[in-house]
Amino acid sequence: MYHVHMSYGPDSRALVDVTLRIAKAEWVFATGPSGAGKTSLLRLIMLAERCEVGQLLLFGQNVARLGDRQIPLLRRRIGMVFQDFKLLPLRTVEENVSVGLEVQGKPRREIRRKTGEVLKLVGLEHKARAYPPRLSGGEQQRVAIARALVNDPPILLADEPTGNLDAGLSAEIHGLLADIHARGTTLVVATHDEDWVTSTQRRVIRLERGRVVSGGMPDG
Amino acid sequence: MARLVYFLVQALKHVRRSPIVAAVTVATVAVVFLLLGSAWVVAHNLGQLTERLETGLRLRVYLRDGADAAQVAAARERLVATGQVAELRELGAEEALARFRERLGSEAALLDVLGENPLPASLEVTLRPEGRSPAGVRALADAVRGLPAVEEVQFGESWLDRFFEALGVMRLLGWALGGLLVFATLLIVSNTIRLSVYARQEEIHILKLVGATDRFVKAPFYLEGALLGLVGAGLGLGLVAVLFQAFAAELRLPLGPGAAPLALAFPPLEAVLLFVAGGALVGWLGTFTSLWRHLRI
Repeated sequence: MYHVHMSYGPDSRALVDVTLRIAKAEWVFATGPSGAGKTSLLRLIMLAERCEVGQLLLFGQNVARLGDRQIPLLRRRIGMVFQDFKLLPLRTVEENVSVGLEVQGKPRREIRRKTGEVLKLVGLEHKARAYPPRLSGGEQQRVAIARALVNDPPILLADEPTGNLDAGLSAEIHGLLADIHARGTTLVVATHDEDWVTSTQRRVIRLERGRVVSGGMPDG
Repeated sequence: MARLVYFLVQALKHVRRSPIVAAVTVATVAVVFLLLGSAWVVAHNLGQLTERLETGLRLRVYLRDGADAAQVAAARERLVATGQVAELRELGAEEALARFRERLGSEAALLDVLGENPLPASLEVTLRPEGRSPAGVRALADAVRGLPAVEEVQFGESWLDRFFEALGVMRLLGWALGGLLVFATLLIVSNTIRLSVYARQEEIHILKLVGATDRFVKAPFYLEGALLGLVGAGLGLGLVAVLFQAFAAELRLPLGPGAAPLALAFPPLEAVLLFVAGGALVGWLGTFTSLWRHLRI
């Protein structure tokens, strides 16, 4: 990402001259006070927002000016996990997870197989037919992670994945994310949880008021 | 095919999750199609009537008493030369009187009081189908008017003109009213779908985040709109058919003495199916206007 500027309007600059690099299969944290631009950074990477200035390279391709029609194809290669889970309350756990495959028009059999696999990975295969509102926060977040992983994305973005969870459930999610990284997935996690960041000993990109103040480069 | 089924299931789920909104939309479309359908049936029968009247359009050329054979032949030639004549019949004075006597029936005795035959000989002209309009008849009349053999030309012009004029105005009004109704339906369906989109904003958002294309997100909405339009139009037109069967199917429109009365008819099935399909199209278009601006995520 080179000299990226992004704003939500003339008076609301979200990212200012951001330059950073994240290597394949790396695990980085993005930290900083609220409003520093962590979420904006993740939204930019998955092209939920577009940058006005600068270059954004993903999978070796400059996607800063990617056409609207190409965006869905790119998003299928990036998993995203949110603080508020963003599950569909009227669909079962299984349906919530399989939606990522359905949008691609995958065959039914493959959808069933793949959904079963990722539910097993997050330890929720026994809750496949439950509805999200009946699950605990930790379970809901695991459903969200399963949904993010169902396409085998090379990149997983997590925005405050444990922000709504107590310590015990957080540890559960931390462990799950570590497992996912161990499988070779590039992990970008935005978090306030300093203890987690410290204990994990990964690179930390610090943001303040939309600027990268440290950790932008792998060796910096 | 599997995709279509998936979209259809999603569309039905949309309807099931907000049944009241869907019901109101269907009911509104049904009312509009009840009105449109009624107007359509009336128009269909007016069309039939027009056709009948046009088929019956004739010109009568009354011949001057004492016109000689050469003069009559000249008038006939002039008529045939226009190329608009399908049939030309000469009606002698005696024959005309006999026909009149027949029409008067029991009152025919009145004619005996007259002593001499008051009716002139005439030429009866039937037009070719392409000339069967008030203008066509008038052109033909102008061709022979003023010839030495011709006393008078008659074709009931004043009432026919007025009839066709009134028909033209009615047609125009019908189109305008129909257009307004269709427009209203578009707005209603558009609003329903907009509500549907609002209710599913979060879902749409999530779908797009996991890589759904615009088309994937929109397809169920289009199907929902088309479905509501189709069901509404079907109900509305079904109701028209029921009402027609109950009140108008047995009616006969008298077309004056000597002409068979016109039976009112419901438009043919293919046309009805097309009309109902029009409901789906309206639903689809309503969805289009709704999604056009509300689905940029």
